[in-house]
Amino acid sequence: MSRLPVAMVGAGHVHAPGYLRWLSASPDVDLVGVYDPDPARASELSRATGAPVLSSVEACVSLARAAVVCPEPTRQLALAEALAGAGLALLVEKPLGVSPSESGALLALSDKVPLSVALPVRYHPGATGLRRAALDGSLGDAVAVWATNRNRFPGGWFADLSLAGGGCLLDHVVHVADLVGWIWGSRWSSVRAEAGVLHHPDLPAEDTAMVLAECSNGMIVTVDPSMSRPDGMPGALDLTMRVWGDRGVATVDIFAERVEGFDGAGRFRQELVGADMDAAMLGDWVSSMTRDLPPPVPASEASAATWLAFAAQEAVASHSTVRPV
Amino acid sequence: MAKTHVLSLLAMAPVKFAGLAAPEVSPEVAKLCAGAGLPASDDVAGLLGSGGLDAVVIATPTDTHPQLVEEAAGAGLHVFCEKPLGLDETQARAAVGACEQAGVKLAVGHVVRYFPAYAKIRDLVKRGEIGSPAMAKCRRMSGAPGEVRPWYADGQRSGGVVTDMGVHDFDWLLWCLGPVERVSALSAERGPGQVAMVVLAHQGGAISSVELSWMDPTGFWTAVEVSGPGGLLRHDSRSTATFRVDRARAGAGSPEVEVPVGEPLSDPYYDELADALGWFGGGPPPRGNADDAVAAVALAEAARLSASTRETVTPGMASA
Repeated sequence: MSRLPVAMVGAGHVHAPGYLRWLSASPDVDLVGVYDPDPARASELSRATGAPVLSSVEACVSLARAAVVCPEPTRQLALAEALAGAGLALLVEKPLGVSPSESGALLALSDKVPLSVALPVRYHPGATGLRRAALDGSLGDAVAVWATNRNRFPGGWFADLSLAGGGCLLDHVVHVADLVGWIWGSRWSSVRAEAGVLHHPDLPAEDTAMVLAECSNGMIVTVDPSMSRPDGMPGALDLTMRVWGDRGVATVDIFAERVEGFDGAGRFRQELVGADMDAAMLGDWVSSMTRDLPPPVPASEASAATWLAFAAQEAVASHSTVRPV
Repeated sequence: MAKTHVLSLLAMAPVKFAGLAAPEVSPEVAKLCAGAGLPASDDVAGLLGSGGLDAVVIATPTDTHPQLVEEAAGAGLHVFCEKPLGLDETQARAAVGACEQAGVKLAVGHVVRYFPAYAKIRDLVKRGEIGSPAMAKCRRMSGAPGEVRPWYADGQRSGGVVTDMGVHDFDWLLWCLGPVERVSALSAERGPGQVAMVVLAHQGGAISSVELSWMDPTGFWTAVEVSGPGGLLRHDSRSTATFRVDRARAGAGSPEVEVPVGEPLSDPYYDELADALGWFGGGPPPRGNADDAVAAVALAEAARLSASTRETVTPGMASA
């Protein structure tokens, strides 16, 4: 099978370097290059991965059949529209847009081209294990899901609303929301939330939040997406779920698999080990696009997950319950 | 909680334990009393009127608290009442009013203030070690107590997991982060099993959450975490236990309602009772007062209302 010609178009997101490293090493991918609105960033990534620098979206379109769109969130839609107009298959970084209207515009692109969304946690053994337990009945009926997806404040463009497009609700609700929709096939029926700028008082958008939601199947779900972990805290990034079923409880801890150690001065260190979910996601996407199969994570599902973030933002502003129209 | 408090009273040297009466006395508690040569009966009025008493400890099902507090106060006795003080704010206020009118002291068993890790975290927060607190998360889990004592499964008697378990964390959060402006909650029931999540917006902006379950097959555990601009403090009863027994079948099927068991050098239930009885005898007041107990009940009531309406609620308005 021939290699899939892939360009990375927009590389400002924190996940871009990792994706680019995988693309440059994959025997199934012909990485034609990397484009970013900031040429210095494209050059830096080129030096790190060997991918050629591309100077324009047009150059990407002329060389690639598929593109990984991984810019800062507010730059996502314009790049995706230009690429879809030229017929490229797309893998778009989450969330799907920074507003309901942008999300709708990205969803509309998926009518024209195969559009998959980068939600790699679906591939993690913690998530596939939960899905199996939910489907094979070992939990009984799922009653409630209590989830966290917390981090330290990541810095960089997260402090710039014109690039980030939102706060921790937009950035970190979507992974858990997608897992719930993917595993139980449910829709969201009501949303409440509290949020504030509380851990890093200079930020322009919320860094602390709690979301309470109900699903169409009666399940109740809560998500803590806060950037509440102190700088330098080992294991700052988490994604945990406690799933209460009427026959048992399941706990998921996506970043639990690690080796811990202390040096001679007592300094703590830890190394995450185990499954590489980004590689699994990218591999599935490349394989699907090469074989003309449907996008592995369809825009419609990512749109439903991203809606929970928008609804939570609205609930915070109104102090009341938000329900889908 | 009757067994726990009976054991404390039997061990408390300056206290003379006169006897026990309750509408229902479990065989185990009756045996403990018999072993100590103490009367145990269902004649509450008889015991309260027997003379020679200074104080009474109430450790009965929650729905009986208001009436028993009133009777004890009417007999001129100081009252230690197990939490929650009542099922709603109106009941709790009436209990406080009865004690004020009778001129007796009222202490309520908000024992979490006496759990060393919870007290330490509150101290560190008040000392400013994490800056202005931004977020707190409390977790409190066990199997379904209603499988062992059916009254717990009756919301009219226990208030369910939100009131029975949550009132501990509501009290601690009020103590640590201050008054609450908004309450949002979700809950679900499966037979005697219940889960609930309560989110509180505190005055000044801090957000806290209380995760509650009566569906945990691993048995009783709690965890707490507070974070702010200056750092994070946390505690988990599972990873910090100095002793534990893992039974073949923990949680579900447990022969007793799951309550942490103290040791002589570390027993928050003993400490809270000793503080209350010391106060009755003229010593300093305990860590929480009766108004604190009313506020915790009011918060639990607001959370139950929010869980049933799926709307956000202002505490104190629930009774209106």
